Amino acid sequence: MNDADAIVTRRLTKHFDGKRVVDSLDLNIKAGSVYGFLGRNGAGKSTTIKMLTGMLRPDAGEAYLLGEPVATLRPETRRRICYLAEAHPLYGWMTVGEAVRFTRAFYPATDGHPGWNGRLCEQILDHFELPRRRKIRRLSRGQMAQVSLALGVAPEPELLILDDPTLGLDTVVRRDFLESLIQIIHRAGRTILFSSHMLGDVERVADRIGLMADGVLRVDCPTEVFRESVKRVLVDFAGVPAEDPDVPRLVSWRHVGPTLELVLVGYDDAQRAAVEALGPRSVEVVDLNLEEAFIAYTRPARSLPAFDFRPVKKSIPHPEPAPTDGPSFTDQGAA
Amino acid sequence: MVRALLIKELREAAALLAVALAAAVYVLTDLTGLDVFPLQEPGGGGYPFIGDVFSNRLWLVCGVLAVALGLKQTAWEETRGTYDFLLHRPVPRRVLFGVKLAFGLVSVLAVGGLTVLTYALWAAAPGSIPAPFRWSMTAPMWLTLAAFPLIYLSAFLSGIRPARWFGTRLVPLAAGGAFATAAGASVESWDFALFVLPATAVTAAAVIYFVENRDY
Repeated sequence: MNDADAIVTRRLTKHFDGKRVVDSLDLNIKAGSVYGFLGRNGAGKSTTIKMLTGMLRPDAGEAYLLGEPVATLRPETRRRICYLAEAHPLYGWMTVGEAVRFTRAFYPATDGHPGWNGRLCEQILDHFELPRRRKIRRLSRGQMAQVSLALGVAPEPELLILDDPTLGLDTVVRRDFLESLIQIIHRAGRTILFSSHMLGDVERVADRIGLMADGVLRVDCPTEVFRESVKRVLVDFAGVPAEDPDVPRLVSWRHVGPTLELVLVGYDDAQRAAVEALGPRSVEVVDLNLEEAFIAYTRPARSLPAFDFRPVKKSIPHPEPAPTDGPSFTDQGAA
Repeated sequence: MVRALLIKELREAAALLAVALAAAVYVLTDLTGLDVFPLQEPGGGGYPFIGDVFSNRLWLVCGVLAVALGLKQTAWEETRGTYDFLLHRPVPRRVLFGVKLAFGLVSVLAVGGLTVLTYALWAAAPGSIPAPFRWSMTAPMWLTLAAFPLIYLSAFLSGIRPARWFGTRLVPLAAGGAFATAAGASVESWDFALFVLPATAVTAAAVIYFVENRDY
């Protein structure tokens, strides 16, 4: 760990009811970066974030925020961190104005910190046209997200941890929220960890992504690198396609008629040779967009569409399930 | 910051406190012969603090308040997910919960204490009762108040301790309530406090343990 890391985890692990929901997570998020934390529902994103914020205690491993162990995070450090929890929990009986006054009380100006930025808070509330006298419980889900954002940003945090902040918002509100988020929080030196299962949201905000699947961090690299590196290779056969192809850095595979469809990390000479060794009639390499790459990494075998157009007599044979524990993908290349 | 937390606790508990105070007023008017509520049949009978039903009614009013307040301050916060908002504030967890506990204990004792004091003042006023009154007669009632922190903390522990509601969740409340009731029924005078105070201390230690160590 060094000073340039805003978030560090070392073999962070958590079990629920005997199931390992976060498995030996090693994460280094550099200060000043916007990190998109991706994964399907239940992948372990929220559990990881709750461990990072000290709401859950890890079963093993350790986590550091702004250089300090989460387990012993001092209030002075915590005030430099904003955490927006999933679904934006706020006190429904408070009005918007009362919520502001209540939260402001925790952020007095001190020698090392300017304290609550009331002007910024008011600007955000004005921007979203949030009535100060309206009870929180009378607000829409989108408005609650907006109040949460104002309360989270007003203390001028250095590190923002946002757990699926656009969950449940309709398209227009989500877009508006994200654009405001980008404008408000993307300031030099500010680190943002942004979890979501909305690819478009992450693509707009993050300069680096991590992808969790079944509690394991499968991808950790710049967004562009991920998007450009994952390839779909369509291998066409004259006869029956090969089963269980042995190709390096294979993420997933499936049959589509006489074609074997492979999703690979990169497409180098070794992979090309392995594909040629299958004896194909033709090979076509297709770039994937972020969403397709995300799906290839996170789709479980049981949900792979398996259509077989070969003539059948009595029953339709099912192809072998595609491997789902494909290669991990980091800056250092495929494992 | 502590002030903001206290105001929050007061606002959230206001309805419960109002109901408890109304119940206390009802008990007092009933026992003192003031016919102010409809359908009320005043006159609890007996001699104040010695041979009347004041003790039973005090247990009912303050016991219910202690249970309701302890659960509201914990389980209510959990079901609404607001721990995620509150516990990330830059304040040690023990301060956040310390304010909750202090508010709850003071509220329960204040309602009980005011009820006892009001009844005692009425009894002490010349002409209220056809017999002499000594303040020493109120001592058992003041000691009885020592049971309510145990009941409150047991309810708080039930709310803060992770467990299934249809499992062991309410075991601390049942145990604390049973202990306080049994001690109150079978032990006289200062012995009562000597039984209840150690149990209160153990329950408070358990509350602190779960506050500091549980997952939220």
